Amino acid sequence: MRYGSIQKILSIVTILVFAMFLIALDAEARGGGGRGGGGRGGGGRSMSRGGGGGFNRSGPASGGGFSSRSSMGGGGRSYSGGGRSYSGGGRSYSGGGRSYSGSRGGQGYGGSGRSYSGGRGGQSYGAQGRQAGMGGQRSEMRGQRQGQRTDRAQGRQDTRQGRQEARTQRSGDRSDVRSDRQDSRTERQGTRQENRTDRQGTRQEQRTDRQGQRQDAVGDAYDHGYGHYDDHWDGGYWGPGYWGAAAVGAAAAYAVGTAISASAYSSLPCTSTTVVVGGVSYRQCGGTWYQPAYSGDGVTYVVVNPPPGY
Amino acid sequence: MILRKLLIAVICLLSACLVAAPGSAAQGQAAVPSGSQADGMAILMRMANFLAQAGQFSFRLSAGYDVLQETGQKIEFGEVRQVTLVRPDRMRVDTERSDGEKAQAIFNGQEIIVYSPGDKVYATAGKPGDLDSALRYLVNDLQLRLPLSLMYVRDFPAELERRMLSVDVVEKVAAMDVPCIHLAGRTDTVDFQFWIPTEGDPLPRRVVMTYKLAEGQPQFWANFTEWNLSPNPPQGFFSFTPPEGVQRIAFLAELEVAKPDVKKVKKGGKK
Repeated sequence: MRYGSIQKILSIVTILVFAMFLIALDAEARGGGGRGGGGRGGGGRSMSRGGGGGFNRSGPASGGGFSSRSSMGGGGRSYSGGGRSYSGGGRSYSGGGRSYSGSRGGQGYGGSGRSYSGGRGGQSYGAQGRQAGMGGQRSEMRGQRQGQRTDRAQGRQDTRQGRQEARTQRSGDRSDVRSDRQDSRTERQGTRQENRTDRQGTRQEQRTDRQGQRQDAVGDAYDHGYGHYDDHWDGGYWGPGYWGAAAVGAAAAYAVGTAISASAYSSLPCTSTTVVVGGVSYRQCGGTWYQPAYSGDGVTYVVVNPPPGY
Repeated sequence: MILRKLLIAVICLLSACLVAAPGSAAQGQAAVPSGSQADGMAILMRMANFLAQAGQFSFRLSAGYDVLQETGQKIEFGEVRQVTLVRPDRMRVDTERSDGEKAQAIFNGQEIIVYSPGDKVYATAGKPGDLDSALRYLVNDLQLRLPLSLMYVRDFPAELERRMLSVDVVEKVAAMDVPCIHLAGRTDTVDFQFWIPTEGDPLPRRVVMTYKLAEGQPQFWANFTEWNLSPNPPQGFFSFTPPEGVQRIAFLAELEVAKPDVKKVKKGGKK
């Protein structure tokens, strides 16, 4: 009998050691895999530039930034009153980033500067201060899920405790000896229960802390004493149509026009006539008047009302 | 009985080892960066600090970038820039695009001037202050394009550190004008590579950036040549007097409009 037990135990040990060996092999294989590779796909680049006509020159990569706003969903800017309000500006991992001359993000004009168009970790700075945008909503949802998880865990604990109490009561009706034994078991179980609750609480707190830190890191303003710039101020330009109207105050020495349309054209549809009225340069194409303006690294044209006297 | 207890103890010990080993290994990996990462970060920061502390420099930049078209075709465009920077408040960039269009951008400590000789127009915006604030204003507010603008600000090292997720040494590269270390780094939105000389001043020779979250994962690349740490530009180099016939225009960001509605027309096409 004794030798039989020893034999069994020895068999278990052997199996355990073998299992450890297998797991170690697997772990090594995975670890090694991470470092491997690195081979770069070859293949030449085939490109026909086609004379350049009709091809868009601007996109997420044209800005040459170390961050990319372009890949961010929404990314809308909202200019309100005196304060600048960056809203959205979050990250979107679902597409986006297509370059239709200035399709970057939506922009809100006026209003309170609140925008829910942002992706993850949206930032919003303005008269109303920081707003979480969608990031905040997501964080809230996470919080709710956590709350539900906590509730469920609490519910399970309550049920367990209830059962425990009932069991304790039932056992209390039995013999004193049994009751004593039950009491001690209940105490042990109670302690275990408390420990488990503590551990759950700690885990919950740690998770909340980590999430909070992550949220702060994503949502933080970037302020170098140059005013509020978001984390991706160098994130690139998106072409002539990226319209930042009223982003900057009009130069006092130069009268800027009011466009009747917010369309920005990278070139004119005709051979235009240049007309200067009151120091402002216009381009006339038939009955349509354009005002040239700088954006990106070139001149764009916006449709404006005819100048006074025309 | 003793033997049995001993065996149980051995089993417990082995089990404990089995459970604890992978966790501790993972913890160790997370806490301590690999040698490659530590080296990579040091080399990258040396370059960043060197540029940030330089009083002046100039270089020539040959760059290209992909633009994904509506058709799904990826097209590369190029440009050459001559960059001259004198801290604290002077900078000039002369650009020639691959289609031959030329442009000039100047910051003289008081205003930002942009000039397009081909279109015979220029624009100017008052921005008294240092170069760093002017660059942020130019890129962020005026929405002008200045690739690698981060490299021109004095807090380039801090900006890099803040964004960096990882940096690794890829290899030593001999097939360049000077032997370089090839670095590969990652930020949330951009994967980048730098080629930095192994000896002498850590002035970058090449950079490639991949916009990994953008559709088509387009790249921007640039080769740096003709580095000069004492260009000592002549007087008047940072001033601008509009030639005759050149009209002043506004920045698009200055114009007032009702609502964005972006379109694009081709030259000669119907509006």
